[in-house]
Amino acid sequence: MKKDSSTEKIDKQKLPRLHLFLGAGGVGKTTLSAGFALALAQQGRHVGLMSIDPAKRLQGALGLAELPETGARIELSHGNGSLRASVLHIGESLKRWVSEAGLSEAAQDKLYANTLFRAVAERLATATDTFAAVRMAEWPEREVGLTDLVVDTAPGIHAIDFLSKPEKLSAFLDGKLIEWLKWFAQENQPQGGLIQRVVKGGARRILEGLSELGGQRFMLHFAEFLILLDEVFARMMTRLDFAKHWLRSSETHCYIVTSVRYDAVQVASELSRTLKSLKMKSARVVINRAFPEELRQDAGFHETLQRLRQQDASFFANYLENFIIVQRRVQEQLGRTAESIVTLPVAQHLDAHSSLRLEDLASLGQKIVEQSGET
Amino acid sequence: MNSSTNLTQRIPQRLVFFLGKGGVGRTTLASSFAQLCALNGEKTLIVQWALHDSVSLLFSKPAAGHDSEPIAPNLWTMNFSPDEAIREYFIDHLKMKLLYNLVIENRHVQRLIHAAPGVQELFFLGRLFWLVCLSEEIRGTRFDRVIVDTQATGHGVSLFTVAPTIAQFGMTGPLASECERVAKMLADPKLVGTALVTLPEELPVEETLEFLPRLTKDLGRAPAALFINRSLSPFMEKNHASLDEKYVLGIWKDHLASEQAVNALGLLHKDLCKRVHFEEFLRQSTAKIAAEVPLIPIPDIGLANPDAAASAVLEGVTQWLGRTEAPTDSQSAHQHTTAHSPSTADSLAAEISEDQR
Repeated sequence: MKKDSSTEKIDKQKLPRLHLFLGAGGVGKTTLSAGFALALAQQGRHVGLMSIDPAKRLQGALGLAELPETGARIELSHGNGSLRASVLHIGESLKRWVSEAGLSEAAQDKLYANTLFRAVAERLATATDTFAAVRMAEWPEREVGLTDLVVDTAPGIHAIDFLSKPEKLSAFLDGKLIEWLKWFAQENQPQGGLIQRVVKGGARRILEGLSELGGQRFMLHFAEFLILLDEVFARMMTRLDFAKHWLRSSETHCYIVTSVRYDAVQVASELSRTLKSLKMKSARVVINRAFPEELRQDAGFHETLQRLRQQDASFFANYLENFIIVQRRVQEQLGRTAESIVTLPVAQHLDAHSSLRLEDLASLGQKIVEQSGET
Repeated sequence: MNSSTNLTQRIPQRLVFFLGKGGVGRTTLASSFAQLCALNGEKTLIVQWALHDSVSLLFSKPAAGHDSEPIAPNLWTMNFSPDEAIREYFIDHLKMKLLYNLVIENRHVQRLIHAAPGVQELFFLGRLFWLVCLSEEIRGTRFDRVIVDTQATGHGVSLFTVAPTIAQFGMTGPLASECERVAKMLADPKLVGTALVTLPEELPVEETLEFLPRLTKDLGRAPAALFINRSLSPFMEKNHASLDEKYVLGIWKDHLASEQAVNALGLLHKDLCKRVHFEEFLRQSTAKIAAEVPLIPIPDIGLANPDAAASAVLEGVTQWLGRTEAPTDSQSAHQHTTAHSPSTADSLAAEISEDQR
């Protein structure tokens, strides 16, 4: 397959820093990644932010609600940096990639009318992880001078797929079967002829077997679809290769976000093991919504806590006690493998269910920047 | 217990999908509901499709594979494997061993199967069809209930549209008839039901409110229940004062040395009370878009007892579900009702810690 010239150009440049935010659902990954991107931009860096599924409150704060798929500049209150934020829309990205692949208008119309394309586009929208990697790799091509890309990932241990699927998907796109299907399609068209002679006997048997399963009409349809998408797939392949390279570079950092909850910690541990098995650098751990130190260390706290726990209305006191126990265990468990641990206590503005302000987001991000040693 | 409003009768279908994103406690709820069915004397199977079998772990049993393994009286579990299902389909069902060996096992075709959208989902539904509609004829075994704990991302959402999607491709042959029969199965409201699981938190509530109409459209009917996991409302039923802001801050204020500590305490209190807010928000919003769906709060058992093992939480939730009265269809069709329980979670939590000693 052809190598894309724009990514070749990037290969030769210094790679932008990649910051991946991983973790269980509901731990604050999207909010923290947005704050982190904002803090970097205010330091004068040129930052991209790729969000997945932000809550409405965060979309409101960033002005993301009406954002095009390619993203938009976020106004910064100070500094010479810049921030471009986007929300992942696979279906729209795929359409853009089709139009950018230089297909003739007629070919595009044919593709959009293809039921397989419609189904695949719809279906792929749920395979967030793989396409997020393509979109991520595309970012530096589109934005010259980018210094940092902050990527929010799908929740849970399935974010692992994001890291391991570049290989899986390229294995499919590179596969012999696609070549055979193309031959198959051309063989069944009048202008075919030449190539069919090249098809080996074994391949023909497999194609016949597949036809038996899904019907010849389907096979033709599928092959036609693949031919139309050939150029789009070729570019996606190049980008996936680049994503693979970028993920493993020394400029990449993973941030595993967790809250003080056992299930979130299990996900964090699982992610940490996966990074290790993929031979990636150990992650920086962020414990979000932690117990405030000023309360835990207050002179009257422990005595009052123990006294209230003996009483009838002990519900809230028990909650506080348990919070401290669980947090201590979380720190012990994650501390063994993490490169660094950042602890962010429950905060006034971010955790209330009122509107979210950019400066609060940025100061939260600034804490991660400082405490994780990101300079 | 009033038999007409028992939860297992509110969700009477033989095949029940538990749906919800990762981290909301879907596996716990699916397992608890299955356990409740098993306790009622129904032969029950929990079907998972996950990297790791987490259900067996809850019952202190070794991980199950693609074949069902017993985990408790009347209760079995399995962890679906697409490769195994595809092999079974071609060799046992279609009797096409030669074709399987030659075509399906070919490594290029394997890549296609793993990457093509919908193929694995189709075989998952095919396996469920086999379990609820065919296994009795073929092997003489029958499960009264099949409870599905669907994988966190992707699959849970797309399962119900996979057959119509593949049908659009203009396929003929055995795969097309497979699509047809799973579509027919899903369309049967007497056979297939769904239950949603969510948390009283910002994002899960937003997602549930978006997912609810989509599920209703894709499946052609609303879910049978919406479970709100880690809820605080059962704790507050009898003991209103326990979370009242003035009360809580009042008893703490004079005993803390610094003002910062008092502020921090107030923040923690607010943070906890957000769950009350989001549960109320979910209740009001659901009343507008899906009034017929009963909301069933599940007490946060781990909150009262951080040392409760996962198995103890499961036990507690099962007991809670067993005591939950769900409104019948005729009651809920006109007004938005909430399931309520005769027992408070405090006493439940106390029972659980008793059990542990």
